[in-house]
Amino acid sequence: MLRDCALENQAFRELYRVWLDRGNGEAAAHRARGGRVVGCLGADVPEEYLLAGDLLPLRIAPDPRSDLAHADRYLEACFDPMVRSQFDRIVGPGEKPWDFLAVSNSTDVLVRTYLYLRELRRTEPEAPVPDTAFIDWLFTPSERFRRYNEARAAEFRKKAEEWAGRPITDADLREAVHVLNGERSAMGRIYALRQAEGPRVSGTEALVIAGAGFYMDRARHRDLVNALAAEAEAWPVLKGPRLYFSGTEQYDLTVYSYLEEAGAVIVGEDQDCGMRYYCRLTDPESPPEEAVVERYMRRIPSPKKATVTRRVEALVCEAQESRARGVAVCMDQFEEAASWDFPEEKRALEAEGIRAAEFCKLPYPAEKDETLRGRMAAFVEELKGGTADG
Amino acid sequence: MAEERRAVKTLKAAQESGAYQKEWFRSLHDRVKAGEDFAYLNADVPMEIFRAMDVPFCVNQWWAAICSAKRMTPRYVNFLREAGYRDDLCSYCSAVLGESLDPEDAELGPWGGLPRPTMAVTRLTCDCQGKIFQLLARNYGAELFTMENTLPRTVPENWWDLATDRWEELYDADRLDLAVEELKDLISWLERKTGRVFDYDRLIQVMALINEQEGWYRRTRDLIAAAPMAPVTVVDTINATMQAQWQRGTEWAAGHARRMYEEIKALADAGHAAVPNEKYRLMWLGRGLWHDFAFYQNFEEKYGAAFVWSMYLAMGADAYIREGYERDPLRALAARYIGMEDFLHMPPWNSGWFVREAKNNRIDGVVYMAPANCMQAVEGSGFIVKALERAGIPVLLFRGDPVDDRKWNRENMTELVGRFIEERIIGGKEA
Repeated sequence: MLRDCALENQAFRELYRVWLDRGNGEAAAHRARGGRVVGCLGADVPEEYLLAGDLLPLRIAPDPRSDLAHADRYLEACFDPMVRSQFDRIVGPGEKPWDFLAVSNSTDVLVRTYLYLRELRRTEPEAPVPDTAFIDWLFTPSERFRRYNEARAAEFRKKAEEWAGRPITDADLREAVHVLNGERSAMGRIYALRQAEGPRVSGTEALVIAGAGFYMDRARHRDLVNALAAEAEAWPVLKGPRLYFSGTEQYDLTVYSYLEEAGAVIVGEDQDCGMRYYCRLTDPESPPEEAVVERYMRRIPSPKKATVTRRVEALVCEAQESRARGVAVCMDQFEEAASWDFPEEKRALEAEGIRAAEFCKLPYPAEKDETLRGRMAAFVEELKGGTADG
Repeated sequence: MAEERRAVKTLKAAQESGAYQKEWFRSLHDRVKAGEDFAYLNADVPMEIFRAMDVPFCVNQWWAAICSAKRMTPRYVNFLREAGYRDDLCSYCSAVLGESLDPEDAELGPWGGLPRPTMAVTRLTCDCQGKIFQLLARNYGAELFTMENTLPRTVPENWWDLATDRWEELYDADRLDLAVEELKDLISWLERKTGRVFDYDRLIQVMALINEQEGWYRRTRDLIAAAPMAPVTVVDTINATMQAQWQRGTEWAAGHARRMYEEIKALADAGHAAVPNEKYRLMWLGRGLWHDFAFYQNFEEKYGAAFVWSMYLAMGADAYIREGYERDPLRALAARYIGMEDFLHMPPWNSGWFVREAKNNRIDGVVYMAPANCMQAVEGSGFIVKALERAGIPVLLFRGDPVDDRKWNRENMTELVGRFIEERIIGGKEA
């Protein structure tokens, strides 16, 4: 639900333009200035190093129009449809807006994706797969794994230096951390406007604001978001039952629109195209590798990686802090891990008076599920509890 | 749903292992009843530590196979559904989670059901594993221990040439270092939990017995590969190997592997052919079809097609033996367990090995059951098929489930494989 107040706002219009373009123009402009572009898969690529090397991180968004013919040659049926589409963009024909790839092990399917890309480079050198880095974080909180992760971070720094064609100094890194922390703080202002007693920014609008950052210069993103945050304080308050969203990354507006057009207001989320991606700053005072690792290990526990207990605790806490009346958990087809959490999450949320609904096995794009809009509307009606605005 | 026709096993070793595991499971019940701690382990957990400390344990995938063979999987899936879980997830790994919800498990479960574990241990080799183990640990009141999983950054070719005695070259050194530290953590946890003391000398004995056992598998694999007519098929070797593999590190398992070799050698020496009209040698890729073992024998009479190869025996032959364990048994053990997933599920390690095995075993065609819903078992089937086909070996790839028979249709599958044999194998040779 993009309101006129957003569409008439200059900063929002610019973010929306970049978001719609998926960064193609931004990448071309960066290249024209002599810069290199790194296509990113996964929400845990430590972008600090890329920015420090003047490399533009560009999230590889799925393409809902793709027929997936190229991905189908390599991927088994149980790859989720969104990753299938991202893979298709990499291996399909045509000019690519990236020079290199970085893949983080944010979920199992991305680990396999990396292995397949590596094998493709080995067995089909003509395939359009550039030099690809893999970030093998260990997410279990422990000092031992932190040290392992610091070595991985240092490795990625070296790779970024190779791509940048120059050493990355600690000063470069501090500057990158400064930019990214500024951007995260700016996104925090938007989040505060969503979480307020009277939310001023819808979830759908927030998807555009957050998602634009995946495709553009981050300092400019920071500045645009800050400008927007100042103006959005005067946007009309949204009415409707407050909803927290959990689950699959949302690269387009369909699912959020279904929920918000039915009358809900999405006031928070833990999906990686939203606030989870921007939460937690990198400590500018700590040694660089230590600070980077700390940030990526300590965010909201991922629905894909964390244990059931950690997920339940995190989700209940997030939903309560958001004063959500309901939680919608969405998962794409073959995206299975979070389904193991849901029964526990539902019980825990309902014990706190928060309703929960699971929408699983969703196709990509979500419009392919002709019943989804109706099912989501029915859930929102439940949340309204018979009152006009919930 | 498969009809009740049962696979015909001929090896005494297969019968022996079947009988042994039943007896072993009964004794496991006794030990748990007597108050001993009992660990439930995922298959990729280094069970050698538990063996060395004489902590009773049971392996998840072995138990899932037993439950499937006893046709219990649908019952357990029902319990999961009633508890609010989806019924189409992780069938191989989650059967026991369903069983943990069964109030009549002691009466209706296979062999008196699963004794109540006090410990649950898994590696985080897929997104779901830690979650499933945490849930089952909670249902049983067991304590959970998880071990991390790292990905190889360097991938030397032909892992099977390095795994036995050049394993330091096979892995990134820091992966091994980390795995050793995790083994030490596991040992400390077990010592604290059970009050037992870990003994390096005992682990060395266990490692020696495992090398001995797997050495017999190597001889057996090579014997079957070289025999003019296969003396046995996978119907005998899968169960006999898998059942004993989960007993590895015991005198019985090493002795059983030797007896199996001697029995098969005697058959080969006598010119015995498991399929007397053998014309075509088939390779089975993927997990065992636990709910319908008779399926493997459907093509013998009509086509003279014998399934002679599965990963179970061949992994024993190539993936487990670690020389030099006396110097540093924990590091040698780390060098065994951190690679298992990658040997099987990571191209090019798996594809290269399958091609090599297919050639050595004079395979005419490969029937490849890829997972229907398991990301852990996703292994680059496209790369594997391509590598085998490029080597001149036709492949039939289909999706299936090793334990959940709800979507299995033996008639359709028999027709599919029959057509593959006729068109790709027989047709290919005639062309």
